[in-house]
Amino acid sequence: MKADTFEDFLKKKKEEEPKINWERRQAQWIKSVTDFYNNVKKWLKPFTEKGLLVIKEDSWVHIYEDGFGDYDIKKIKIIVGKNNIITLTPRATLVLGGYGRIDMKGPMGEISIIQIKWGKWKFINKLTRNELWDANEETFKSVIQDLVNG
Amino acid sequence: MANISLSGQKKSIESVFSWYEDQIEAINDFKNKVITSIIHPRPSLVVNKKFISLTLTEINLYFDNSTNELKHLVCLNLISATEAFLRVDYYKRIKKRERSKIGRLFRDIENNKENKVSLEDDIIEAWKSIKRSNSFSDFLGLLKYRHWLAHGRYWTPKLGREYSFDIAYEIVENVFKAVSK
Repeated sequence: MKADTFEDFLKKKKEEEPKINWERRQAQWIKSVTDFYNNVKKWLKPFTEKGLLVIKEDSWVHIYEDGFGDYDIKKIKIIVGKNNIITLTPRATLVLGGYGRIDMKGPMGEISIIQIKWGKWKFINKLTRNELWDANEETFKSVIQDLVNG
Repeated sequence: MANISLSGQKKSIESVFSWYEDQIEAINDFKNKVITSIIHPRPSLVVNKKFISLTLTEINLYFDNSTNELKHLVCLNLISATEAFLRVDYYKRIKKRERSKIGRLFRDIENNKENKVSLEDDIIEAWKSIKRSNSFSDFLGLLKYRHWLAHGRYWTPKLGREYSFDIAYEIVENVFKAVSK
């Protein structure tokens, strides 16, 4: 009788926890990163076509997150001129205030992009974490300039 | 005897320990709140904006650093409480003109140094000379750690050992016991 009561208690506790479909969340995260890369490629297409910059998609980053375990996700490099490499590296989907973060690092600095809603990305000032602005074609090109020139 | 006005505000090591436990619990509750707002976000859970975009690993690291900082500061508090205990004990024995061995040693120090009595060179050395335990030698080592903490940690200390909160507490507790025997 007591064992049943304890089992009921455990079952009730389990039901109280919000259910997270980790597989679905992971798939959604990986797709959202791919979609963001596609936007980046679209924004920069006029310049890649003219040979003014190169986008490379040949490397992966290994991530461990609680709930998901280990997985690999693609990172991309934007090469400006001969030696200016800007890397976009996904960090995690489990981040505070959003559904994932990509870090963007160049020769003169680093900035993060947070997915505040699925498909909606914002740049975030890493120092204050208060300042957020939309990641779109204009801001993305401006950030590339900042990360290369400082 | 140096004319010193005792404040009555010295802390016991038990009260420092109790406060430490409260702060650890508060940090853990805070950490759980931040982590919950990542895994099960809901509008009622408001967290500081400085955590926005941080991953679980980064948040764990942030709170590990907070806990380590707390341990440093609590150790500083423990060592200060022990200094206060030793100095008040010294003044009381002088005032009572205690006839014990330590009382006589303290009077000699007082006659020679008056208001320039050193905790390390005089009070602790006097205790070391009459007690067989390592408590006071250990405490002298701990004072090097206190010196490093109190002066801004700008150099790499040569402490000979690593001081955790547990080790620091054991050392100061042994000093209290040795003096109170």
